[in-house]
Amino acid sequence: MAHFRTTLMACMAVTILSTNQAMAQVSGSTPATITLTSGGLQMAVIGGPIELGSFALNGVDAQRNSIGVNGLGLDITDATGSGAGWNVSVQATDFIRSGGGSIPVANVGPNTGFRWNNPNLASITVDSPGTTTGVSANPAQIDMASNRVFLHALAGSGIGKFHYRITSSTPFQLMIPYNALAGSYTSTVTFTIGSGPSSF
Amino acid sequence: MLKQSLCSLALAGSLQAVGLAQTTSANLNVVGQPFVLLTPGSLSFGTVTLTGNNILARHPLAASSWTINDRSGDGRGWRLKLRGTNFTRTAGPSVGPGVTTTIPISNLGYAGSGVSFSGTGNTIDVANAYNVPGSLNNIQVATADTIVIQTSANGQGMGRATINWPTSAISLDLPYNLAAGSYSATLTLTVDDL
Repeated sequence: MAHFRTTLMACMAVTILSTNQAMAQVSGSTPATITLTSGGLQMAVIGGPIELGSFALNGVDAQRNSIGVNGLGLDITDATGSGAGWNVSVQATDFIRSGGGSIPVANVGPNTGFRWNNPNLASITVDSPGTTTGVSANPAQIDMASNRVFLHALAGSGIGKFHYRITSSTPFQLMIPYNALAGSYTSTVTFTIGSGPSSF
Repeated sequence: MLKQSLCSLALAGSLQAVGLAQTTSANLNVVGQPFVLLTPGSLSFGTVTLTGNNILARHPLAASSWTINDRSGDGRGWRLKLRGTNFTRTAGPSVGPGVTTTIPISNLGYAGSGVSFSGTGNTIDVANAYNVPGSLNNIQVATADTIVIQTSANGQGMGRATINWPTSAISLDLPYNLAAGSYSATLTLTVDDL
């Protein structure tokens, strides 16, 4: 009987200790981290060229409208992660004739030089889930001889991937002087993107 | 009467002298220990370059094992739950309006169907794993203990086990308009009794 009592007490001791270790709740924490770096501001010219076609000289100054832009547009990506906004400007060189001679693009008077009428005649779209709010094009006439801003995103906008496409085939105009030499002419049009919005 | 009593005493003495069986006890106290959770030093997604689109960053899972050690010895089942805080921006250049500086913890998820458990002596009820309502393939972490990674039934789950995450199982959705910089969140694993 004495031995039985001892064994019983040992069993009870195990039971009590186990109960004391009952778990209520145990937690462990760890940090989760990530670093994001700027993917920069990028732009690509899509389509083109601007077609002014053929023109028969007639002895007086003549204004020539573009006859097609061949899907000309820009793909713009703002992956800066800054929200600073951006601006795009445009500038064209004089039209150079193969074999010599040129047609100036400088605007020296009303309806002279090389002009872009209403860059707002364009579609502006953005990849989902971005928004085009705050992104707009200049509705005025652009002098192509100067580096003029025609498209911009206000601060806090313009984040993501945007697609600007000219929707009119006749937005460009060139004044052809009466004394231009017959031949083929080419101008180089350069688009430049910069950080931050800039007034039109 | 006196003679009979003496004989009886003598007989008893004789029986002890030839070594009748004696007994003693062997006692053992098995003491349960507190449950242990070992979490990794950090869960780093490294450095990601923004693209202007939403990005799905995947964790490479290097040195990210999470260990559960049920030393309670009580045989009770338990639940392993996961919660986290939102990712907040801890460093980076000054930014303008329009960019986002917080990544919701719900953007952190894992593919539950690929998670396994291994270890010595554990009898985790794998069949009851990923006991989360909804899809098993894209489980979103929340700020509350609503995600049950593992349930171990009563009588099971004792011993040490390691959570084995498949490669790239843990992912983080990065919105297109996040500000550049460093972000940090705190993940908390909690285990409690069924």
